[in-house]
Amino acid sequence: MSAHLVIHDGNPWWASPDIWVVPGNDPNGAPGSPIAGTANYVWARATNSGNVAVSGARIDFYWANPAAAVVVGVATFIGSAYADLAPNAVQEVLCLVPWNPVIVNGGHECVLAVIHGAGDQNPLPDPLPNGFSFDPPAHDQIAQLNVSVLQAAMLRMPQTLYVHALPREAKRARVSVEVGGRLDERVLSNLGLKGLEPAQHMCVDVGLGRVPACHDPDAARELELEVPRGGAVPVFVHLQAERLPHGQYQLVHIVERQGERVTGGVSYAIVNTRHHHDQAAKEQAA
Amino acid sequence: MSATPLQVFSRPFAIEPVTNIMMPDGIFDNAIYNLRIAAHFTNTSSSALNNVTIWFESVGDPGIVPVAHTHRFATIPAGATVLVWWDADFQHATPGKRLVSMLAKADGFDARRSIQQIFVSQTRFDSLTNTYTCTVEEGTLTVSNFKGHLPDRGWGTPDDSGKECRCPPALGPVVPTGLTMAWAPNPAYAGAHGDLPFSDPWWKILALIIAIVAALVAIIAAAVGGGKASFSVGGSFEETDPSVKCCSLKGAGSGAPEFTVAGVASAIASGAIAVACSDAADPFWRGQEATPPAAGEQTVGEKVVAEWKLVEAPNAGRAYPADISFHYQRFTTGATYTHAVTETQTNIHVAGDVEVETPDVVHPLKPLWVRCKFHKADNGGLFKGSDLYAFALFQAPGGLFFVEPLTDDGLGFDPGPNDGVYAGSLDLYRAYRLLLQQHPPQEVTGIWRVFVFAQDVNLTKPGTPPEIAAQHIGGFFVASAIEITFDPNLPCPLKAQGQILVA
Repeated sequence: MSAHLVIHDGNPWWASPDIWVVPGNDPNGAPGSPIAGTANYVWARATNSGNVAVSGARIDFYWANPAAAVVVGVATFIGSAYADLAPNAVQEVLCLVPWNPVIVNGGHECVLAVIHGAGDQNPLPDPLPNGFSFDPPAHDQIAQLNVSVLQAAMLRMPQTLYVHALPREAKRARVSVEVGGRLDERVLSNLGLKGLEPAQHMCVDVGLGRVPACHDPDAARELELEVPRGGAVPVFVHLQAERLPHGQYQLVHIVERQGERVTGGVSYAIVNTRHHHDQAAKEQAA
Repeated sequence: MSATPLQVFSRPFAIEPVTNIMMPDGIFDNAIYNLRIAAHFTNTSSSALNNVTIWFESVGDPGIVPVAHTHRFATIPAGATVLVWWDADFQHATPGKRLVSMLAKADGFDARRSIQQIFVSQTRFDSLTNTYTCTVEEGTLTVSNFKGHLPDRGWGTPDDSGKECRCPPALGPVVPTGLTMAWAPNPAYAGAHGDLPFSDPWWKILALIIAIVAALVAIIAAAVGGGKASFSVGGSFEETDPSVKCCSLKGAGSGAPEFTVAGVASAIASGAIAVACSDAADPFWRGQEATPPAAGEQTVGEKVVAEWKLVEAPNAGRAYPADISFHYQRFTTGATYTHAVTETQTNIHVAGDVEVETPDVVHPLKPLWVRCKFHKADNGGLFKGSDLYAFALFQAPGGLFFVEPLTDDGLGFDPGPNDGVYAGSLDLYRAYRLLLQQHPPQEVTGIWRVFVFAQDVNLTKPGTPPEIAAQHIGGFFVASAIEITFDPNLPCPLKAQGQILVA
């Protein structure tokens, strides 16, 4: 007899359907991509799949700069929310601390949610110790949303992500590109992309580089990285998507591996919705 | 399933847990670390709700740390309003308006979320200058030159009548009779009027917060020791005659009710600031109205020097007058403007009689109960439902006190929701265990006495224009078992409103 607290991972696991963001001042507004420089509210969907009720389960929310694997100390605490979860109950949970994504990343940040509750069958340390790797696949109570939406026509600047090493452990990591696939419909809706279809063909060119140039001739589909202990190494993702049809999206996953083990990832949903926006604006004006 | 028809319609308010009183206008102040976030939940359906749980979800400031707790109700009648609260640590709260969310769930329904704003201020004391500041997002109010009727020297000692009438030493109420308020707007503003604190109450409410926080931090320090508030000893007052006489309840074993009494007395006494400075439009607003600055000027500061005389002591629910003179100054980037007023203001937070009903005799292990009707002034009917935050003190035969809420929710000993009858009860079985823990142990049998108190609640709807919302202030005592007086010849004014024989 125990509780079993879960915030579900997604596919890939860093695309959790159980975390979403509501940009703007109304926490009950429509979900979407976070907007830098303004208030955003973060939500999570918490589940108790055990057979004991939990009162006052606490859900902690964090944000981090885009990174494949995230550890405590690198992520920034946003705030907490509480929920009562009967056996087999599912509860949407709102954190009312406004989150203001930093403008330097254009709002492209990673959000994590962690649930703690009395009677959980495999509880996490509370509080999480510094340097603790969030590692969502290893913990039912932790989930991550690391999916950024990018307009195909606005990809001149490379996207930046970081590969971190633990405080006292250097690491060797391999970062590679994977293109294609379909987002969970719930994630699509959470990102404000409901109705978009995945592109049928490869429409996005992707390269990984070590320099933040607009065009890196040495960009590759895979990088081997040596990260000093306690340090971080930036990776620049060069994207071009001129061939993406209107109303479609293409997924780009940047995956970090140690050996054959996937240790983290960042996904970009490259979309082409400007036509629809322009058309809607014209119709509204008319 | 549809959402549970249980919602919060008014701004959640602050309760100070040592004294059990509501803070002025329900505003939270981070000078007092531990406060309760209280909210009224109303069943908006035409049916009773069963197996109801209510929990606190989140607050929009990571500096406010609530204690998770779930309130459970077997049933909530149709139309009933229940009062719930959560303890929270406000030590690191940031001044401003913050959102809070609470959820309610009943059998057969999905959970419903209620999101409301709370107001948070920050009061500090500077012992070097003997000034207080109260900071909100819209600016900082500095209060200096407090004048007031101080507690009589006899405070805290039995009177000559042998009635063991006493008040806690050094914790007697100060009835303010004057002060200097300086407002520094953030930022400087153009035009006649600046932003109201929280876009809601008049600026004077910050002075009231200061006065009550100053009293409460001393009470809290006496009750639970230091470290529970940002300062424990406030500033000095310039004394004006006469002194304040008051009686408190006989000393309690737990001590806590003494502090409830002290808090109530201070809140009632401090209310003189709000009365003298008028609810219709406070001296800042009226000064601004009378001194429009020239085009292109920005107001960088304002000051009000006010003094008033009270011909009678301030008391809960009474229409006591205050003869006030105030002098307003506006400092702009180009000039200084002044405006002066002399007038009489009267307390408008008035109420009529209080009817109290208690059983004559109760078995030692059955609950004690009390039912009250709080009449509005001028035959205006009864206060009902969420109109009031009310509580009762039950005094055991041996002197120990117990505080219990009074609610008009149709639960327990309340005959029906929103009928104007507020009821509360004391579980004598639980009380008995506490009585036995006293040194020496106290008896449960004998005559128990009952005292009732009520504060009005600010029911202004969110979205009300600021200058309208400002005219509605909550947290005033409209009923109190404690009376303060300037007349040393009057007998102890504290009277039990009900007696119960436990046998």
